[in-house]
Amino acid sequence: MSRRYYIDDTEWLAFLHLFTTVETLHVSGRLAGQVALVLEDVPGEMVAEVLPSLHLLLLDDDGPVESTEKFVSLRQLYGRPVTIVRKEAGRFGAWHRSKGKVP
Amino acid sequence: MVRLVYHPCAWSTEPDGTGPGECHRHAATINVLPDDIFLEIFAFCVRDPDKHPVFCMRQWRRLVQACQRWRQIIYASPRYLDLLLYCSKGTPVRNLSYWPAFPIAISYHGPYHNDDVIALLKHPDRVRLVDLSITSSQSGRKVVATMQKPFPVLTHLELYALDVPELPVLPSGFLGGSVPCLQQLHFDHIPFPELPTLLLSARDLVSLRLNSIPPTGYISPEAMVAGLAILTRLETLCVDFEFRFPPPEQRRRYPDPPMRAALPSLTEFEFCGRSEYLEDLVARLDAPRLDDFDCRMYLNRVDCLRLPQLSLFINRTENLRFRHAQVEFSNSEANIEPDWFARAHGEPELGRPHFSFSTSFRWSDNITHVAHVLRQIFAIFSNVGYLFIHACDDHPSRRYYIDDTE
Repeated sequence: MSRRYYIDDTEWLAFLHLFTTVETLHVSGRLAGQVALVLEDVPGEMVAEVLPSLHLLLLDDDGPVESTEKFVSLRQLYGRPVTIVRKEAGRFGAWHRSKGKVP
Repeated sequence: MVRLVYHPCAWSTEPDGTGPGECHRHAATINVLPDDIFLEIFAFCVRDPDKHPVFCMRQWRRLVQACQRWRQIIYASPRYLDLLLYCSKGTPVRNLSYWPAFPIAISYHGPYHNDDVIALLKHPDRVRLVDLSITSSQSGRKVVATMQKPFPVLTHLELYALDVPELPVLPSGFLGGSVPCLQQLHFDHIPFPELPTLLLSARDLVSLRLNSIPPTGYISPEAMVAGLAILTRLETLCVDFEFRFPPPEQRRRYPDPPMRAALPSLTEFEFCGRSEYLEDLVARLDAPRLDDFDCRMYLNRVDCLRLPQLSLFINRTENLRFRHAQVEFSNSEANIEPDWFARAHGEPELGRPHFSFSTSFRWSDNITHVAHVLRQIFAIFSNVGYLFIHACDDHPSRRYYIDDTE
């Protein structure tokens, strides 16, 4: 059975547009899927304007998280590459501690 | 080198490194020490600003029991040794005539004999600390009536009145209208609308906490600023209203007065109330060293929230800048904490700088509302490089799952 979130992309984009200096975005819990879906649906001409400084997207959910392949490809195409890391909730914290600092 | 050792029945001295069994061989030698050396030793034992006053009093009461000479030395220097008579339910001092005229600390909570407290308050020239829970309107009236005169050495005043109906409003003559030595003033559920006038004499005030201000204790932002203007040593300020709306007669807005308050020492500010009040307050405040700010607001609607003065106030601070931020969504609210990462990872600043923002309105399931609130305080987030977004288990985002197969 497939599941999909019912969300308003415009609302989330207005929220994410605020953070022009964010380099690392870490989304935990059920919102990880929502954010992933919003980013995947960003049109090509806008992809460099949403979170323009973003280098790393950490998606941390114990449920299924939407694909972000299109978003990654478009960011690469527009010269703003992003690395996506997915982890289930428990293991993600352990990875952070082992790094000892913000990635 | 000697060390002062407390045994269950007496103090003694020992050369450093010896056991208690040998102390009798050296007990006589300590008496050759001059009084001023003794005084320094006693000061080392009893003066500790980090310790609770009751601990300090137990220390000096043990020392004065050792011998007459020690008692004389200690009683001759109460100010140097910072001696207090600490009076509480656990350490009652009912007959003051048995004791030297040291300053008095009064600390009573829970059920207690009101007459004990009233008897102590009748020595206003000696009362340095008052830490009282008001347990009934009757006892409150007696305490207030007894404190209608100057307490010239009072440095700490804490009054609590939880679940006390019809608590009398503190009158303008409370404490004789002057508190020249006051350093800490903490009220909880205490109505005192004339407080700003009293603050004009509180030049040494370091901490002012007004928790759960009842409607009868409403202080307008203009009057609050006028009272704060003289408090250049103030480090902690808490303004916390227990009611959502000011009384009708006090909703009237006044034309802007020229009064502003510069608080160069303020580092901690906690506010709970309506956004309009906060706006009026911070428009007239400068707190450049502020690094710990906690806002909780009563809101009817989020989309009407406007906080231009708060943004300007934050811009006037030097330390409220963050590289890490957390936006946490729960069922009832969204908490915004810019320093989450620093605290979670134990960085050395011990949670400073810190900013927290929450409201009474259920808006966290509407991301537009969250974005609107963030825009109002965006000065805080202008340098954020690491953003953590988290939904608690009770967040309604679960409701948004729909089944494509349906």
